[in-house]
Amino acid sequence: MKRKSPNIISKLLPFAAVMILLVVWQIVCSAGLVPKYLLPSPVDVFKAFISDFRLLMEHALVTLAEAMLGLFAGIVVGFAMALLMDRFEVLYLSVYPLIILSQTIPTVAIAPLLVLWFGYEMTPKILLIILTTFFPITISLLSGFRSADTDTIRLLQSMGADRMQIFRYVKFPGALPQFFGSLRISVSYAIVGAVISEWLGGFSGLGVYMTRVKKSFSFDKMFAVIFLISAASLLLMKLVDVIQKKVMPWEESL
Amino acid sequence: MAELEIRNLSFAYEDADVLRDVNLVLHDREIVCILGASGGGKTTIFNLIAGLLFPGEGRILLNGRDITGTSGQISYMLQKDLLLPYRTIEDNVILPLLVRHVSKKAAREAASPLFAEFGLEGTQKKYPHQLSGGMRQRAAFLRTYLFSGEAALLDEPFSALDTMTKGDMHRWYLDVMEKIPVSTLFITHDIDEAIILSDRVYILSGKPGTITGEVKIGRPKTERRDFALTTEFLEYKKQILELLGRK
Repeated sequence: MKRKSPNIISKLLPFAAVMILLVVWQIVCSAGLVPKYLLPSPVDVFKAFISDFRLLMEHALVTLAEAMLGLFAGIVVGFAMALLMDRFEVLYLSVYPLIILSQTIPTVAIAPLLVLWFGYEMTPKILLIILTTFFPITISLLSGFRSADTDTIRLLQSMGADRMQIFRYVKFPGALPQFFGSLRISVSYAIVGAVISEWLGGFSGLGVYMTRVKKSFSFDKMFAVIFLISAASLLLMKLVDVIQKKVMPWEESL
Repeated sequence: MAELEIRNLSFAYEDADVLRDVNLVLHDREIVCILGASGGGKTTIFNLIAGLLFPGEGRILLNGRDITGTSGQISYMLQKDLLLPYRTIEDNVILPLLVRHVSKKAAREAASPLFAEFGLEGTQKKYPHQLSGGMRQRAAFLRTYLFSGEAALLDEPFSALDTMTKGDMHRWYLDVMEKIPVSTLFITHDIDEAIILSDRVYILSGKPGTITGEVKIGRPKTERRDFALTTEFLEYKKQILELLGRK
């Protein structure tokens, strides 16, 4: 009971900080310190959000679909990579540095190439998302697999367990906390990846909407879509938390 | 019925001989201890018997059958309880059965009557971290028993427990073994523990390690309560210390 009040405060603090920021922003705009065409006020942004709600939702649906498809494929690729590199030391030694190297290439540099190669449809977008999301998944799963307790593995070997069983009972469940940690990162990468790929070509999606409103200098709508993207990322991260609690019930009782 | 025989066992890592010509026998329903200093090759003997290592020379026979280098034959309990934190106690103890491709349902059914036997009633659905050290150790014993009810290797099974819990666990362990006897070979560097629990004590010493002595503890295991306070106990202790060359 004693610890409850600081807990509530610590939960309210970030919320309060955001509120203060919004109020200051509104005051700055209302007082005319910054011209309206450069920085719309929070109220303007909210109005834009309401007026364009239907359109925004239509585009958001496309972006979310891309992000989820890409993320799912990224998880599959990341899982496969981690599995293979854990199983075959040769692969670990040869492929791991390549994977690290691949992450030094900026996304915005590959995106146009992907559009050039695969057109304006879904494919280049999904590919880009796979490229950005598989990396955290691979690294975290691999480190999870490799850090499995050697004594526990020895115990299972003494029971006559084969490689698959050791993976199933020790390595995989042991890597779950790391996996969910990286999934939280990959979820936001997936949304951002989808938006970036839409900037560079496409017919619908929040990225397309963004480029359109930018060209028409509707900065209120621009901010509305930025907030929408942030909100979507936060919601998805929360969703990962919920799934993690469902999948890992033992953490609950810790 | 289980009888384990180790004949002329030798083992060397690349740079050093660890064991030379180790001979020992574990008769049916016996509790036998291998006593020796840390780093003397005790755990290596167990890894060899459990089939995790292959000996340079020698053979390991279980009921007359050569099991040298094969795992899954004799249950093995390591120093830590090694309960998987993400599995309930129930699902932890049935792990050896699952490894043998017994269905989860059948394994749980097989384990369920043993929870009372091992003093673990009501812990089935709990997670390891919700149990005390002693209870976790009991769960590890139950897992070991479900692995093989015939013969077991225990590597310093009580070393991670505090002194009070250790005494309780010794008594509890002897009680359980009275009800469901398992031929047991265990390792310790604790002389008192060796005398309290064993029918016979093998002394492992030297470099490379070999069996340098054997002491039979005469007192029946049912009369081991307060055994440690008797002169008989001290006599055994003296005898063992002499064999260890510490006196």
